[in-house]
Amino acid sequence: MSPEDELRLLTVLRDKERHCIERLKAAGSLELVFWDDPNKNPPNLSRAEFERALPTIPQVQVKWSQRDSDKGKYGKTGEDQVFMFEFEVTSGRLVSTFYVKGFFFNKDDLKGVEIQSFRRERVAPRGRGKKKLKLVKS
Amino acid sequence: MSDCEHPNIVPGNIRREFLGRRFEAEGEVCADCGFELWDNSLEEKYRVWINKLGLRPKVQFKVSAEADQCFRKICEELPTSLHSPVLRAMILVYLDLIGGGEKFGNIVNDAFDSEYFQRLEEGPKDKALSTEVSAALLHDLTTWGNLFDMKTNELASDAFHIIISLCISEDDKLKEFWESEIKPRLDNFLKAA
Repeated sequence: MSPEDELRLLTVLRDKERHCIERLKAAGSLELVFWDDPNKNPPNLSRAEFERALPTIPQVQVKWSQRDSDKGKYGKTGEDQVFMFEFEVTSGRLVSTFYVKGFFFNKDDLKGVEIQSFRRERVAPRGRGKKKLKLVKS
Repeated sequence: MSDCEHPNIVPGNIRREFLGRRFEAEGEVCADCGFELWDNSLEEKYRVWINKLGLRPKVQFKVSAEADQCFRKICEELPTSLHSPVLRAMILVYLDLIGGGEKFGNIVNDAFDSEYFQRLEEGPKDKALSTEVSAALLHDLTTWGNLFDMKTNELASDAFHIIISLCISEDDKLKEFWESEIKPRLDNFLKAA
């Protein structure tokens, strides 16, 4: 990553006026710490899946709560609050809803994000739209 | 699944299986829930390992005669008319774009809803299409498949049918998307191949 790109992303991450999702995308491109389930037990998803999904996350409503523990990789230096939100991704035939929980670190020198939980909450068939587009003429 | 905050981190062995091969590295794990800590450094090691696998797994699925005919016509208009690289390029372009967020997501939905996609997708499928891909591309396909809860070949099939639908649709919006976003990317991938 070029120093200019890094600076741009840090600026976004450190701007607390920006939407959490925008800051999360910046943080994810800088330093992403992810807790991965080695057994791939559903509905848990992996870091690779989170990285693919991250750019697609819309600016949904985010909840914040006090972090219970100061343990963990960046437990002592991370922000005191965790963010939590759900978002949807559609793939034509399915609508999947995902849950994310994590926190930014370091409190006084933000540089990344630790994701504690990323899982699929629901999958539902996406009802086909009523819009009918023209058939191709052969 | 419990919302463990991973309070007890200890050194541990990290292992992953992919295409019958095993990746191993020293890392950190949560002693409470067993989850592994994947930071940028570990992820980079894993990515390098996948890129060095040197395997060429196959992606394959079946299509209708009509879809196959459309595919052959599209191949004739691209830098190469060889089916395997074109199919591989279609998958690459699709994966490149679905990571682009809402804009392409809406186009995918429109293409999926179109009568032509439905006709292509629902007809009798007895033509087999396949292509060899790199381990890295298969990993990417598998990852997106996991995200969408789809099998790898199912996702490849969707990529194929969505892109064919975009090419041959007479809807202005979809046609414009084919001309401005899809075809240039296909051309570039195939020229570089």
